[in-house]
Amino acid sequence: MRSKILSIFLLAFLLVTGACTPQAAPPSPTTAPIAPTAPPASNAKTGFTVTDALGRQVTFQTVPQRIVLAGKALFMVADAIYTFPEAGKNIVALGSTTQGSGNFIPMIDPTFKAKISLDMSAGAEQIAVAKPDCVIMKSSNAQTLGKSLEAIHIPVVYLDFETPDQYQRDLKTLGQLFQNPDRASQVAAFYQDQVNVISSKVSSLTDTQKPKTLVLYYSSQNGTVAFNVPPMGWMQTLLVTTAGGTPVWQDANPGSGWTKVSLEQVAAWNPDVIFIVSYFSPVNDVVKQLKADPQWQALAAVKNNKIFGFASDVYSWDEPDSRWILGLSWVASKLHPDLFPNTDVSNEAQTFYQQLYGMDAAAFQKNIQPLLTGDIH
Amino acid sequence: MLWLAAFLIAIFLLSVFFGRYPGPLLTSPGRLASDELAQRLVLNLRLPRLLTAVLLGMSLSAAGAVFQMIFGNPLVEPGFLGVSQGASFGAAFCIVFAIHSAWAVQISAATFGLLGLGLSYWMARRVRFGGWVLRLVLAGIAVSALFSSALGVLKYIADPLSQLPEITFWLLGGLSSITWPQFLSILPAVLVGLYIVYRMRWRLNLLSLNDETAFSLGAAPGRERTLLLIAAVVATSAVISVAGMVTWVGLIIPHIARRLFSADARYVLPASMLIGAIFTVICDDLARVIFPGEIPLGILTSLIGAVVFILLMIRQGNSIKE
Repeated sequence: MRSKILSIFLLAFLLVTGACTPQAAPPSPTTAPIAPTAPPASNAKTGFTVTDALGRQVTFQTVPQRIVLAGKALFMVADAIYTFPEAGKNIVALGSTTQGSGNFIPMIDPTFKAKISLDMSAGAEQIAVAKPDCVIMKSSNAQTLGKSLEAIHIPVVYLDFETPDQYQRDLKTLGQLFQNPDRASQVAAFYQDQVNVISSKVSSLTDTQKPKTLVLYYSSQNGTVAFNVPPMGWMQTLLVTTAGGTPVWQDANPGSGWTKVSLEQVAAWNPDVIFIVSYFSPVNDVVKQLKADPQWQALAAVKNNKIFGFASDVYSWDEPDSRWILGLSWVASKLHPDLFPNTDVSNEAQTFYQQLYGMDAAAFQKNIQPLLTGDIH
Repeated sequence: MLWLAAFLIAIFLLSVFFGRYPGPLLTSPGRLASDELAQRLVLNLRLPRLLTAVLLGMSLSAAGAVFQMIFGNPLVEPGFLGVSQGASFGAAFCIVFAIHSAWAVQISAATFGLLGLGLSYWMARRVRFGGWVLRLVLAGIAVSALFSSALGVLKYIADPLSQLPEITFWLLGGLSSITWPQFLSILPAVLVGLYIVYRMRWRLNLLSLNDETAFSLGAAPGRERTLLLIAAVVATSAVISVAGMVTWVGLIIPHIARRLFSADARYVLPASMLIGAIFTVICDDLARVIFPGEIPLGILTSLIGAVVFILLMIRQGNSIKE
C-alpha cells in the first residue's frame, strides 16, 4: 500500500514537472524588456542593441529608465557608470557602493537617498521589486545572479571595468545603453589622453632605468598583519608597468588574487620603491609604523625614503575604480619625478572630478580635498 | 506515510506564493493573476527552485539512509564519507577549468563523489585498529580532508573576479540561481538514482546484515551494495552539482524517519525522502524570505539540522521503534 502511495506521489511529481516546464526555449537576452513605467527620455531612439562585456547582444526598445545596479563588487562599476549624466536619473536601485572608507555616490547624486537600497546578496526576486527595465552588473555575477534575471525576462548588461582596455570597451557599451555615444567618447578620451601622456614619456626608458617597484597591500585582522602582492593581470600591476616601473613580484604570484608575502621575501627583492596600499586602516599611519620598524629600516626603499602610502580619497587610487587614472599619474610622478616634475595631484584630482562628475571647485574643496590621503605631495 | 506526502504537497503549494515580490512573505493569488512579472517569477524561478529543493532533500536523505544502513553506522552521510567533498572538488574543477556544460559538471561531481566514497571504504577496510564504525568515520574524515585541501588549491588558482565568487557561492549551498534548464539537467540522474534506491529498499534490511547472513537470505551482498551506493552517489552528486554543499540533511533526516517509522528500511527510506524534501523546501523558503538578501541554504540546513539533532538526541523516553 505504502509502496503504491509513494509511486503515485513520484508519478504526480513527474507530471507536475512536465506540466510546469516551459514549452518555449529559455528566454534569450534579446527578449523585449518589461515596459518602463516612467516616460522614455526625449532623446530615446526606438530599438537599439547593446553589446556587453560577455559579447551578448541585448536589445532595448527605449533607453532604460529604471536601471538597477546589482551584484557583488559594485562600487567600482557604479563610479564608472556615474560618469554619464543619465545615471543619477535613470538608476532606481543599487546595492552597496561603499568600501569601508566611505561612499562616493551620495556626494554626486542628490537623489541617492530616494533610491532603493539592495542587499549585497539580493537575488532576482529582490531585484524584481524595483521593476527594472535593465540590470547592470559585473560579468562575474553572470552565473550566480544573471541567469535568474534573464529567466524572468529582465534584460541584463554585463560590464567589467577591470583594466584600461576594458574601460574603453565598457564605456562604449554604456554609450550605447544611454544612447549617448558622445559622452562615452569624451570619457574614454579623458582616460586615453592621460595614458598617452605618461606612456610617451616613459617609452624611451631602458629596463635599468625602470625602478624595481613593489606594491604591497597591508591588511590587519585581529592584530595579525599581512602583506600581499597582486597578480600580474590586475590594475595595480598595470599601473606600475604603464608608469615605467618593474614589478618585482612577477614570479611570486602564480595565483589570481592577492598573495601573502613575508618580510623575508620583501628583503630578498629589496625594491627601489615600495607603494603601500591600505583599504581599511589609514595608510599614512601604516607607512609611519613601517618606517619606524627597525627591520623595515634595513630596506633600500625605506632608507631612501621611497616608501609611499598609495594616494586615495574616498577610495584608494590603486583599484580598477574610475580613479585609477589618478593613481597612474601619481605612481608615474613617484617613480620618475624627473620626467613628471610638475605633477600636482590635487589639481589633477580636481580636474578629474570636474570633467567626469561635473563637480565644481567648491564641492571638490568640501567633499574630496579633506579626504585626500597617502603621500599626495 | 500518506500524511507526510500530503504535507509535502501542501508545503510545496504554499511555497509557490512565498517570496520577496511584490513585498516580503506572500504573493497574493490576485496579484499573481494580474502581474506579469509575478507570473514569470513563479513559473520561471520559484517552481524550478522548489522542485530542485524537493529533489535535493529526497536525494540527500535517501543517500544518508542508504549509507547508514549499509555501513552499519548511524553517523555517516554523504558529507562524512568524502562524497560531498569529492563532488565539490569535481564541480569546482569544472568551474576553474571553464567547463560550463551541466552534464560535464554532474559527471565530474559524480566521478569524484564515487572516488571519495571508494577511498573512504578502502581505507576503512585497511585500518588495523578500532571497530568498523570508528574506522569508517576516521577514513571519511581523512578523505574529506584530502578533497577539501585539493579544493583549497583550486580556490587559490581560481580567478577571484569570476571563478572564486562562483565557487564560494556554490560551497555555501543555495538554490537561488536555479532555472528550468538546470533543474531538467539533473532530473534524469536523480530520478534513476532514487528509483533504484527506492525499489531496493527492502533489500537494504538484508544488506545491513553481515555477508554470510545476507547471502543465506538470498542476497548478493557485494553486487547489491555496490549498486545501491552508486545509485545514491549519482543522485547526490547530481543535486550537489547545482545546489552546492548542503549539509546535515543526510545525517538527521534518516534519524528522524527511524524515530517515526521504526528501523525497517521499507519505511525509513520513503519516509526519509519525504521528510527530507519537506525539510529542504522549508529551509529554502526561509533562505529566500527572511532577509532582503538570500541566506545560503547550507547555513540554514546546518543550523536547523544541528538544533533538531541535539533535541532528538537528548530527548528522554524516545527510542527507535524495533
